[in-house]
Amino acid sequence: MFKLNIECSKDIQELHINFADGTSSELGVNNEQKGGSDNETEKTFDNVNSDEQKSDVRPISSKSVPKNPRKNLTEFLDTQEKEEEKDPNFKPLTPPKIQKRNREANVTEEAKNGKY
Amino acid sequence: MKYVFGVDCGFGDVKVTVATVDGDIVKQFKFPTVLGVTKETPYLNDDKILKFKTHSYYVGEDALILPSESMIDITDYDNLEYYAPLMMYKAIKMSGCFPDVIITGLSKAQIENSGYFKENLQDFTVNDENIKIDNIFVLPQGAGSKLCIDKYGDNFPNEVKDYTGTQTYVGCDIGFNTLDMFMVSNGVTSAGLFEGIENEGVMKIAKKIAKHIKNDFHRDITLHEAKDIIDSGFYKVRGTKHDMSKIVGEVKKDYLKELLALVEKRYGKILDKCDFVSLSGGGSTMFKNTGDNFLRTPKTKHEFYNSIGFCLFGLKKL
Repeated sequence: MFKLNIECSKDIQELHINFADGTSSELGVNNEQKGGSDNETEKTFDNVNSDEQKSDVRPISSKSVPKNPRKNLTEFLDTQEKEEEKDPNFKPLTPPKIQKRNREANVTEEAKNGKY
Repeated sequence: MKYVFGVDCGFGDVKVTVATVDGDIVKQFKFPTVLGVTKETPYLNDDKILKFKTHSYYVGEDALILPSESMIDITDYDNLEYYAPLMMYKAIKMSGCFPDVIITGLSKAQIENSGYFKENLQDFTVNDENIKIDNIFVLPQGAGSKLCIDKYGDNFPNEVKDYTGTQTYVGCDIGFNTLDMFMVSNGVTSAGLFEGIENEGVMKIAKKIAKHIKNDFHRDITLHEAKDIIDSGFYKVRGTKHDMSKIVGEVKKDYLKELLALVEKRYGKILDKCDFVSLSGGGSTMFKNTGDNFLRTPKTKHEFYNSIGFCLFGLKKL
């Protein structure tokens, strides 16, 4: 006997579990998604003990889950480029300016010697 | 165990040879003399970032991934002196040992600054770690090559068996920026016959390649990026490799002609009395030995000849 707590978004309509012997069982159907109220709060599934879920599982708000997380890559890159173009604060890091030195010659003894 | 570091802080690459007190070479490596400004990211540790004075940097290979605007080409002496401690710190960390003696070099063209260069390396702080090294010697570039040729000829690491110490020859150390020439007469160099010419090194080729890239691809590249094209024969942009080998070949050929003409012009009269002309340094890889062996280039480790010679010099200072 064990308890299984599952968190998922309201976009998921049905939840199944596949066993090692190849059989499968439907854990639950999201009734609210199928026509129930859409109140943007915690969603529950049939067959799951709703009391236990309330006590042990932190519900996920549907607002925190992107509706379409796999956004078209080209569209994503286009948006990025536009955002970079628009950013007036974007400046590459530049190195410090090294001042030219005007000073007298300072030669090491080993360099003065010159015989090797 | 005591260690001698021969560090050839060139404008193209920093070449490092580490030897033990017994003269055994235990480490030999190089990294590009390139830095890039970066900034530390709060809460994330990036051990590649080196904090030095007012900024944080990537050094060597790590810097090559940065945007060109943030990269620093070490193309003049002022930059070389300012950033030398950072290069030395990188060399020490890469070696995994701490030096008891460091021998480094400056082109004859900048040897008047050797005292400042030495002081700059004797006491510095990187990543809040203070490094103090008293035993530092700064030799003219080329002196290291000469000492290496004495011991190994053109076939490092095989020692010369019939070294007489009486050879007379002209040596050319072809670096990235400077071309250092020296005259060895009866086995000894003369202070008056060391010569360093700025902007006559491989950089001359790199500038021409950078110009081609500007004309053909409308892109500004650093001289180090150009050097990469010289070495690989390819220009890679946005994942596409462009074959530059023909252009690189032509530019190299022109450079070799100009270089030999320069040697002839400066040492023409002396060359008649020379046993041979010895070319070393990274640029010498472009040359081949002549059939009569008058023009000699190292068979291996061309670019390490100075740093090996520096190590040989340092062994006498332990």
